Amino acid sequence: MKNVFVCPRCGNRDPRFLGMKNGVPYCRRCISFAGESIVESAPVPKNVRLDLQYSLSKEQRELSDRIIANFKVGIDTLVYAVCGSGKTEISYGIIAYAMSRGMNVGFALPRTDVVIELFARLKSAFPDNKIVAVYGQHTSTLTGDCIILTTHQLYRYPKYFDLLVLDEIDAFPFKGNATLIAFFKKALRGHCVMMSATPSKDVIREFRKPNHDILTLRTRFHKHPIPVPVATISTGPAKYWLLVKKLREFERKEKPSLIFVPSVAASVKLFAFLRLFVKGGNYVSSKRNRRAEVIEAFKQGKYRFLVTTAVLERGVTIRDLQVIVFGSDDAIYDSAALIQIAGRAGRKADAPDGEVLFVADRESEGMRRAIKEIRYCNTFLQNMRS
Amino acid sequence: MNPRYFRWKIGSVHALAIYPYDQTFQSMLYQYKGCGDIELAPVFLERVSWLLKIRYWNYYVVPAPSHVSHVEARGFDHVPLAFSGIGRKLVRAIEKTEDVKQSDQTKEGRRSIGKHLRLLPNTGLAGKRILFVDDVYTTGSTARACLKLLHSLHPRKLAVVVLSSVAENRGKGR
Repeated sequence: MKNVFVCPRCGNRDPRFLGMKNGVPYCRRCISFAGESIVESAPVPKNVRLDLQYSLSKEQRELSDRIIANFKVGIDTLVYAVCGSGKTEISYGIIAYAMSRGMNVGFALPRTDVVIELFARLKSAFPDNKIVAVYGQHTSTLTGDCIILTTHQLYRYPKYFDLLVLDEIDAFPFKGNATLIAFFKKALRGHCVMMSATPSKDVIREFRKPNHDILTLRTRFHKHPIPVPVATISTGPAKYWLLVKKLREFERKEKPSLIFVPSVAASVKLFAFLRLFVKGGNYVSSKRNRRAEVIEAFKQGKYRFLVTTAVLERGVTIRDLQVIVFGSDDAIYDSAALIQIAGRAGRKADAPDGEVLFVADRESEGMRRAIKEIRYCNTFLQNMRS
Repeated sequence: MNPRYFRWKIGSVHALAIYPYDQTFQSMLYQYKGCGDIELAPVFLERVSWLLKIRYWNYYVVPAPSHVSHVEARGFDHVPLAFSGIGRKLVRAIEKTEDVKQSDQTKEGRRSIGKHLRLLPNTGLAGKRILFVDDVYTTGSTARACLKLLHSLHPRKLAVVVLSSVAENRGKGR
């Protein structure tokens, strides 16, 4: 029988990732996941005080209770909730429950920016508890009552977490990444709560199996309909003219806007073009040097518009935001990505309407599906009201 | 990784850096040196080794030394391995006597690296053409200290090649 090398850490069997050092095989797929890992310690029940500045909606509370009930009987939950439904707040209940029993609690997210944002929110929600953030370059403290970390850092916690909440499971880099998924499974000792507005078919199938549950929430917490994207088909110079017109309109109405483009190169080019016609803008991408500063300045209203890549597709909440996807028929924009982008608009209760524009040469399948799904979610709202 | 050659002088010695010290290079180097991924060794000079082989064909290559404990922990000596195939012969003419890491030092701490370096006797390099190589040029403390030792061998020619150098520090006579 042929000897197949299986990596004990990440389960890799692909021989292309096999390396040899001094005659000893090693796994190259998970080699960069190197660093201090956690030492097990005895559970210590904690005092938990939940300090929410606002109360949960009925739907949110119901979901929170269902999650706790599931957890108690050993069921993993998938929360299939729309963007802006307050998914994070829904998880506060189960986090409080697990922390109070001294369990090891973790909240994992695919990206550092959202980890930092969530850390601030959880710290203020649980002021008496030790909330710890763990991400690249920031790994000095690895333990606490609740650990918020990037999915990358999960390799440090084998068989550690009794409760692991995983948000944005369909986001890069976690989605479809065999190594990260392997480390996630290794890190989970107890049960998990997965959350997403756009879970893949595989995930949904996984959660239809026994000992799993799917909870859905189709309405935003502020109960206003989710803005339905408008597809505008246009080609050539007319597209650019339309964009400039729209941006000037938003500028007059003093509404901030995000313009999504498919690539880093496109973000640089489009901004170079736009700045000739519209003032007060900037651009961001994963390759942009001071992107955290630019994003923060935009949030504070110092910029009118931002040309951006997928970097701002998720997690950001900006009041009265208008969204334009420039080139929404690009292959990179499947319906999940477009739904996430469209979800940036109308998140605040005092500004629930935001324009979402899909500018493209033609209507793609992704565009069609995204518009259809958002319209579908809004019908739930009508049913609730009537 | 795309080469972006940068040439400058350290005192009177010509130096060449091949890659900018950007995110891509840093993560490659981290995986190679920090995580010990030996399979990455040939990748660093893959596209440029032919140039260096021609330019320095009759030079003796002296690598910046790693302390023996670090080489053992990592499983290999990362600088010589990355530069293998260049020059006439690799000669470990300088040894590191303390297991101090430059990356753990402050700027001042780095300057005292000279105290932990030792030129080995009987290397047969007197009067030869010598090429000093290292992975990264940060403050230049290591390079300057090693060059000082190598000068005492009265080499016929002396040059420096590093995989990457941190942008601000080059060409300022540092």
